[in-house]
Amino acid sequence: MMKYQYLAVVFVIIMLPISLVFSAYVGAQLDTLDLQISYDTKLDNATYDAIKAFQLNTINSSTSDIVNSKIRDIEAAANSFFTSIATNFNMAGYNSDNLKEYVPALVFTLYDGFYIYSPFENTLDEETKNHLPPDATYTGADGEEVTGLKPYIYYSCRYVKGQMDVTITYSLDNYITVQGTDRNGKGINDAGYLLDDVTYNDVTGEVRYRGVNITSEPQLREYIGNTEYAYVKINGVKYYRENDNTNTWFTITNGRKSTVTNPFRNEPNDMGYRYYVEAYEFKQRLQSYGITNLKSSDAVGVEDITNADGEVIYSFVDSDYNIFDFDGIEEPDSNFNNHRMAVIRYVIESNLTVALANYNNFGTGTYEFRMPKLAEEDWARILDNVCLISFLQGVSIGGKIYNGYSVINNNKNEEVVTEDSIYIVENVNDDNSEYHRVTHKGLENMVNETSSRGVFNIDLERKSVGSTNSETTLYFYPHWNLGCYTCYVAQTNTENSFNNIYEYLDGLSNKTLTKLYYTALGRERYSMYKTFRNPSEFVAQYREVPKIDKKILLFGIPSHRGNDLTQLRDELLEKYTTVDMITSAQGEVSQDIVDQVMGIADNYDLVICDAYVWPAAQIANQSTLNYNLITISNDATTVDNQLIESSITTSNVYANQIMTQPGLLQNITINPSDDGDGGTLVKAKFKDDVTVLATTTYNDGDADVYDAIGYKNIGGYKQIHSQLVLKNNYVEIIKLLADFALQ
Amino acid sequence: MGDSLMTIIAIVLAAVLMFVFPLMSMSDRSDDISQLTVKTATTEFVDNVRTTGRLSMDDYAAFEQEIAATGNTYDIEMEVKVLDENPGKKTTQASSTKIGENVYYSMYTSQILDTLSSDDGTTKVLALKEGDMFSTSVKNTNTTLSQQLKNFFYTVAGNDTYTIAAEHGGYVTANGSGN
Repeated sequence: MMKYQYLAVVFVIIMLPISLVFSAYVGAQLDTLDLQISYDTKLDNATYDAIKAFQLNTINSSTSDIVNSKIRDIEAAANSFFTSIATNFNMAGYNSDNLKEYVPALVFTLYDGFYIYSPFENTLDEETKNHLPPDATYTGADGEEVTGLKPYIYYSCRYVKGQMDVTITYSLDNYITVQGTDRNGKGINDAGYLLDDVTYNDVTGEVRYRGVNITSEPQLREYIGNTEYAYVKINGVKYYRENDNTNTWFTITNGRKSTVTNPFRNEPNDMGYRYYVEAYEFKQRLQSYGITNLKSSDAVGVEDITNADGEVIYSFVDSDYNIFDFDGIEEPDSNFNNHRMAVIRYVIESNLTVALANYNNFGTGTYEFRMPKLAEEDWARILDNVCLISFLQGVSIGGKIYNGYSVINNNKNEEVVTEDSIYIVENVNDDNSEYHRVTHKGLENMVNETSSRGVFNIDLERKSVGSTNSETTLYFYPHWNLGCYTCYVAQTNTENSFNNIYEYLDGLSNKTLTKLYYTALGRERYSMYKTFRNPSEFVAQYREVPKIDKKILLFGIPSHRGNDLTQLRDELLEKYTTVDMITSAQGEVSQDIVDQVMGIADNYDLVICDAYVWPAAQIANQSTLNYNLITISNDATTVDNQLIESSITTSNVYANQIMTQPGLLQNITINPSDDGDGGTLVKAKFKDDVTVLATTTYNDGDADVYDAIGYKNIGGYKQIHSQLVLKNNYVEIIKLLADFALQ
Repeated sequence: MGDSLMTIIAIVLAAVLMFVFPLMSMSDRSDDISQLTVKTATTEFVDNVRTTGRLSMDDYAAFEQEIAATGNTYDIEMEVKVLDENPGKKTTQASSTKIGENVYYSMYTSQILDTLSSDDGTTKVLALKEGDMFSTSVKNTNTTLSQQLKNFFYTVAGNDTYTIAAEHGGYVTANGSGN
């Protein structure tokens, strides 16, 4: 009989190797997974380092949104990626060049498109080589493998419907660019922001967005070092005003201050206002092109979007709806946004698959590179903001080959202004006041329109500038305000029971916060760099127009029949170098004053006379005129022998209706405003060689049409006369006439 | 007499070798597998919070459930180091050639869970910002079979030691929003 112990020993002899092998196998699997997790983390960290490098570079350079400097920043970010990954992997014996072989692509998704950083074959044939300038420093050889950025790919999609054939380029927000032909086969090249519920009154200029009246804001101010400057941000570049007394401006390029030659207008910031006006106009244009009728099934060359399990999550054909259904178009769950994200996702996925498959032509190893299916939450992050997707494939990790990717997005950058990028500073005049998230509980009762302001989040980040005289770098915060502890530092006191920010803001009873937020969101979006704009023309709109070197003499009775001489002078002074004013009180106009005016009038380019009739007549009827003249008087009998043909004097009638106002004055309302204050009125007919600018009728039953405003060229000067007292739009009308006279 | 004593010892020895040895070996493997699950789940959970900047009750509950599926009970400790840039801002203003120092303050598990759960039963979100740090460490609280067996035979492990543990942490890379 075999003893029990032998039986046990035999059993153990059998079991021990099984157990050992099993344990070793499980151990190896554990090590592999451990390594995989650690590689995932290393890849995440390197990706974060790269996107952080991009963030820092863009925040500190106001030109970084312009294409060539953007390429520079992205190449710098790619370098940080490889440096960082090499540092992380150094323990494992890899260096940055080895690792490049395992990184088939880095994808930088930006505002309206993306770059793929991957190897490609350099093409430099003899033909091209012969055309290179002799001092070209380029040293690449034909057929050499180079790692670099491939051409920028836009998030665009083509749509065909009837005669319409357009390509629409989407972006990370509601900005689109449309190129192609419209429904009548006419060419379009247009771009703008899509917004619902904007009303615009083109007469009063009033703009309402979601019921909130959007107006200009006070001029913006921020610190550089310890000095606060007024500034304006135009097309992605900030221009600072040197100080409040001079009109010299500077900007910061390549980390240094540089003076701008042409100054800007010193005025309230109307970028937010313009954003909404342009969105309103853009919508009208889209409707006229017929683009608002496009459906998702009109898209050409796109395929359904599937998730990692192969289920269709967005179908361009089946979910056929109006893409540009303006009802709530800017809200996250609108048709437009769903479609936009599907297009962006499709464009990235299809291009990336090709890029990764092509990598097999370059890799030296036997591993076949292919595009992994990205998880849904990763896509959500990619579509949300600027993002870096990195791939690391083919590294052996014991039991298997590592095939990983990392998606890191960034929501503090110059590229895009999202709804979360706007913070509200409680009081911009007080550096100790705090800035808040819009969703801070009760914020609507803490803000007010004059001192609170919405601020773009990167303006709350630390920036740097090189000092002009030494090599030191100054670090500064553009706004000294501190982050609120309960909504910014830690979000413990924020409102979050709503679907989206628009719903929240619309629901507030006190609309001050809503207005501040919408204005700031519009302002920051409108101030962004846009490739569609012609940069120099766009910036020129904000330049100060140099004053015209002309001298104007203003003579009149202030507030006489509703005129406004002071305002007229101020507004003329904005455009002309000299405007002198001689005034006399009502009823006190004396011959001395008139003589004084006539004595100095020759020194001026234009004399405007709005006193009584007799001074006007004296000035107008001099034998020679050495200046342009504008007279305003409702009594023409003796005013102007040069202009008046005939006149009828009546009492207690007044101009009744403007009949025509051709040419110069056609866009302005001239009210027949002489209400007949008991004086003598004169109906006049101008001479044949007088160009009539307005005609009127009178209220005494006379059906005849009489001349009201007209001018004549006499000896190289313009003599302009208004038979009407201008009670409405006085300043605007006289300014138009003055500009005309001084042309 | 001596023979029967030997027989008893032999039977006991045989029982130990044939029964307990494979059991110990298997329970060790079982712990390894649990360890692996817990480690993977923890890394995924933390990385998800780090890259989105959001920690929701749903995420936390899913994580809890995933590690509980290993059949053990766990003690989950979370820590958020909240970045406070305000003191750094003051430093920079005082001397603009100097980069300000950042200050962190911590929120621990109970505070985090307090923020996540609300009285009305709705789930809430803890939103973090870029620059915050988030870490989680997980330890088993029950005594696993392998621990019990080891304690029985050679009493190396005390009652409060653990065999399954995982921790992971890092910078939050994006600003999360609370809604």
